Amino acid sequence: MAAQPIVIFPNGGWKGIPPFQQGWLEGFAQKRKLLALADDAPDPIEQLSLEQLGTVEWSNVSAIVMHPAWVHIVVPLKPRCLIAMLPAPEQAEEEIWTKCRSWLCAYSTLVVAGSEALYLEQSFRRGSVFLMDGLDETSDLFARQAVEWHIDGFESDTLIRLQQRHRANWRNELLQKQEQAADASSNGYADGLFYHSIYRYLTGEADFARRQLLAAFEQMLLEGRANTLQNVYRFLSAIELEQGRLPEAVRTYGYTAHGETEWRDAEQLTDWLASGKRELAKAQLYRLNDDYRKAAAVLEPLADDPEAKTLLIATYIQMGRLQSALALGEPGHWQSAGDHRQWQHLKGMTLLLEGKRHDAIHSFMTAGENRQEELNGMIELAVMDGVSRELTRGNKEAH
Amino acid sequence: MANGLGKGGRKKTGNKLTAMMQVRNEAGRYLEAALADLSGFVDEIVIVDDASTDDTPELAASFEKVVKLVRNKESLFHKEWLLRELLWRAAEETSPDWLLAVDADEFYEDYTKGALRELINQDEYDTVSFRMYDFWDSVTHYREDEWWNLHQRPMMTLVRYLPGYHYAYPKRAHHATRLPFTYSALPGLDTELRIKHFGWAGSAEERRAKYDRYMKLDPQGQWGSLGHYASILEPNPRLIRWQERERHDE
Repeated sequence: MAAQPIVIFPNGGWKGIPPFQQGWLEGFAQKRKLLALADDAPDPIEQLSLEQLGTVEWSNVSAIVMHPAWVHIVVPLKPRCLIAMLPAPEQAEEEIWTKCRSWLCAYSTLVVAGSEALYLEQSFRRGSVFLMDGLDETSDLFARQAVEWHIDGFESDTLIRLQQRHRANWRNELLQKQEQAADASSNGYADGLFYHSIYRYLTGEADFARRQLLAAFEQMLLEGRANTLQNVYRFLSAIELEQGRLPEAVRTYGYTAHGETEWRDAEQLTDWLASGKRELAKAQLYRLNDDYRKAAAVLEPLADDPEAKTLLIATYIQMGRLQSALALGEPGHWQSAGDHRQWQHLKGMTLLLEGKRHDAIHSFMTAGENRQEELNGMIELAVMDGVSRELTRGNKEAH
Repeated sequence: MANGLGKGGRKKTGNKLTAMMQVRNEAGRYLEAALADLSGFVDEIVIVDDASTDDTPELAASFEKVVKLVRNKESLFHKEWLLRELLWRAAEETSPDWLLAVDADEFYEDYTKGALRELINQDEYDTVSFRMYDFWDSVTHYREDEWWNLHQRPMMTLVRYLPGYHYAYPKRAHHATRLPFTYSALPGLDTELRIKHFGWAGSAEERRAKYDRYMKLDPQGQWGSLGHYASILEPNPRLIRWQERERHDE
């Protein structure tokens, strides 16, 4: 197969790319045509401007996107492979970038996360997720190989398991070292136990995940940490689902519920369980543990049921899968004017990602109903346009 | 909630109150009075006897509300966390709703007893803490000074039993917590309600014997403070007269 060209959509010019990724990408240029929307791209990488995007034969080209602000530009181009290679979110970032990241990841054919937190978040939302953080050479190797296979048209899913297992074993070894050094009370030992539990959950080792989670819970309590019931212990309910123990999982969630919304959720779960709607309870519990991927898998076969459909639409929105949400139609119970405006806004964003910019603007206007404070879609579009232009410049920091 | 349960599936009416207690050679001390007192306000009592060599188990078994009595053939005194776990498991087997962890020399003030049903029949919190007063040299005065001020901070002795919750004890040979420390994650209520502890209310000779025992068990102060141990022998401690508050639900 002939090597397909790659276009890089960087995060603040070529120099905005982390050094451990820069060298690897430059190596690509030896084997295939590499272009970048960067005014400081080094030879032999070709510079590409925003105005030239329309001249590219995207059905034969792969795109590597390194900032969420590119989403409304890249997704409508429909490249052959769309690879989101994103750094860790900045602390206290604006909500618009969280949403753009979510949409970009959902529409991508492969996601490469620059931090463990983003990697785990996306692993709970979709398949084909890899970690490349420059901290672990072996782990990064799996991700680099996956990108190359993916661009060359080969299945990279087998590498997902390998990287997950590698990460789980790495976590385990780290914990054992801390235990041997009698250092269990410091250096993130408790957090390490929690992360290890999540990896074992991902690799399908529920019993192992349970032991690690309870050890993390105990350690955090001994350290006097706050909110461990909601932040840590609650995940036991997801593990119990994996163990096929739905009633226990519902009960565990109930113990951790706090505040009116969560108490209502717990009551709803109990009611569903009592009335035999086990799959709804299961899906909602996965959602309450942020595992939207498993929730969607449970709900998709039930989409004819109105309750399941409503839950599935909400799940797709959380996953960033706007088109999937929209395809299911407006939820019947979204009857308030606010709900309707939210739906119109969602529709506008979906149109934007389909490349129907004028239709999207019309939808945002309808959602806003001439109220300045609700013209969010318009404002977001203007911000995204502005920032994506900045991202091509190597001599200027993007916001 | 449609099934009559409250927040998070918590039972908020008709809760059973079960006292749990570990004992060893308590027959000649406060045990009979403590069990008689408990029988007046709890529904059931669970006891683990840690290899007593006196009539403690027979005395315990004579109380109607003692629904479970586990007798250790060999003492677990030097592995206190195991003893606590054994008592916990014994209590679990009686399907409790709420558990009151009591020592054989502790007495709840009448006013406190009157508040207990209200404290357990709710769905807001899973643990309740009280104020423990160390009576000294008599059952009329408690001690309050630098070393003896337990009553100035809350002490958790009453907990909701949540089936399937993760319960764990720290592995402490002595002075182990009387309830699983994982309760600290659950919502709790701190009260000013009072408990009387008569463990130090006996004679100076008895206190001296206790001091000698602590120093033999823990000469380096590994499980407790050496200063605290030494204060047991203080000749003129600050004592305050106890003013009993009557219960208000009768």
